[in-house]
Amino acid sequence: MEKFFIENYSYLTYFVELVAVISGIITYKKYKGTPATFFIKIIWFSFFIELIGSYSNYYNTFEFLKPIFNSIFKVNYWWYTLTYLIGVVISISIFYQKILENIKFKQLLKYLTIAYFLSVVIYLLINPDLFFSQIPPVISILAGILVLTSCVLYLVELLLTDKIINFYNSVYFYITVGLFFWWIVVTPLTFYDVYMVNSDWKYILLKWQVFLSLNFMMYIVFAVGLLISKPEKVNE
Amino acid sequence: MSNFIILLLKDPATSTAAERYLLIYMIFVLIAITSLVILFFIVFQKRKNKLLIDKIKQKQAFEKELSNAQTEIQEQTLKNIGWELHDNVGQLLAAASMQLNILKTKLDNDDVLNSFKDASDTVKESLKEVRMLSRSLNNEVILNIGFEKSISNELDRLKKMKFASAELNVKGDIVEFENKKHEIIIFRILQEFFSNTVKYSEAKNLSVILDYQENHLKIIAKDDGVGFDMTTVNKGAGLLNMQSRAELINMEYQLLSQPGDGVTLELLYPYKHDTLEPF
Repeated sequence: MEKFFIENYSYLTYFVELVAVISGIITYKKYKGTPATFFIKIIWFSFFIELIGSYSNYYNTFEFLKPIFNSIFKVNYWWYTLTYLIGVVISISIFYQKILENIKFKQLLKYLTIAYFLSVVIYLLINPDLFFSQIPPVISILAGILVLTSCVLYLVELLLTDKIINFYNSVYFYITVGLFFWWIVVTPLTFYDVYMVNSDWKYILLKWQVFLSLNFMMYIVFAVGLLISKPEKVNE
Repeated sequence: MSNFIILLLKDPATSTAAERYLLIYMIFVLIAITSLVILFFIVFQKRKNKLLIDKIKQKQAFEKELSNAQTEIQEQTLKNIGWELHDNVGQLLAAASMQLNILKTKLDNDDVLNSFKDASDTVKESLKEVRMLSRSLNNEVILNIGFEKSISNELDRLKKMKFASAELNVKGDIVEFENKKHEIIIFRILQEFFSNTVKYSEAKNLSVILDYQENHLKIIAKDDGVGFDMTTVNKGAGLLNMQSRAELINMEYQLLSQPGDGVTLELLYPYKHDTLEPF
């Protein structure tokens, strides 16, 4: 079982992501003209990030990856920091800025995003060596705070307005639940990254199980949400 | 972000079982908290929904009360006008008729007598009209002489005014209404329909069918006038009044018309009412 898990971990992850990607393709038309399409694009984007980011698994399979193996890009941390922690996280924040209606919340989120971006850039400029050797915990925690703040702002707005009456029809609610779940659990895992070494398989397996179940939950919630919700227009 | 393989062994530290259990425990705590948040949302939504529904119900009850009051006031007004017509105008006309009769005995010229008789007849006719009108305005009279009789009286009155035919057909066994006041409301709806027909339709024929079926009374009123376009017509007070009155007694209301094809009014009155209304 463990062997199977170790060998097929990344395929299992692709599979659940693919479910969300496909449900995004199916429902894209339905949500045309609403901010939900932006989120569908984020899902597609994350899927490609994951695909490309897995290059470090295939040094033995593909010869043409050899030059990368010998370069500074050997480990894929830089890629995830750049695309996921900066690209996707800021996209998620922009997505929430699109769906929030409360002007104060919108502005708060905007300034937080700018502050996040600046602090990430400054942090990486100060510690350039960290960029290639790990996913800096400071950045993951800041990213977690930004995403969780977005979710909380949306939930607070939902509680304050009459939108709550129909929340189970709102795709944004499902998206928020999925994101909230994933990020609140994943963010503290950063502190355990010290154990992400080959020798500590007990931890790596546990972490993979956690990630797999979280990914499974999040992408299934996205897929279900996209399929069952009704599109709603947002007054901008 | 999930599949990083570290090939460089920078830090050879390994995790202890305690740390891993703590991690698992933390995850469960976070999941529990998130679930609680979602649960809170569901409960909150239910409560808010209930509050809103209660509010809407209250508003509806208030509106119903309001339209009840409106109808009552209208009935009272119509009754007052009826009384006035009967006691005031009617008495004057009766006196005029009497005086004319007295005068008639003093006339000896045949020519004058003939035209005098015409005038006298006209006065008598007007007296009769005024009395009939006053009756149709007074709801107590309607209750007294009965629903069908009131309609046929009204149709007779209209027929004399301008129609070639105005007929009432009753099908099935007559069922007494549980609530007499509903008779008045239905009668007023029909009256509104007739008055629209008189005012706008240029119709020659008018017919009313009362079809007493097993569970409900089906009323069809029809004219053969110019009709109107359902989509473009401006819904005036008359049409809206008819509809809101129909809703007041849970009656299905349908007004159908096409230009050049007359107007048909269909009403479906259920004998049984679930709720006892104040009306």
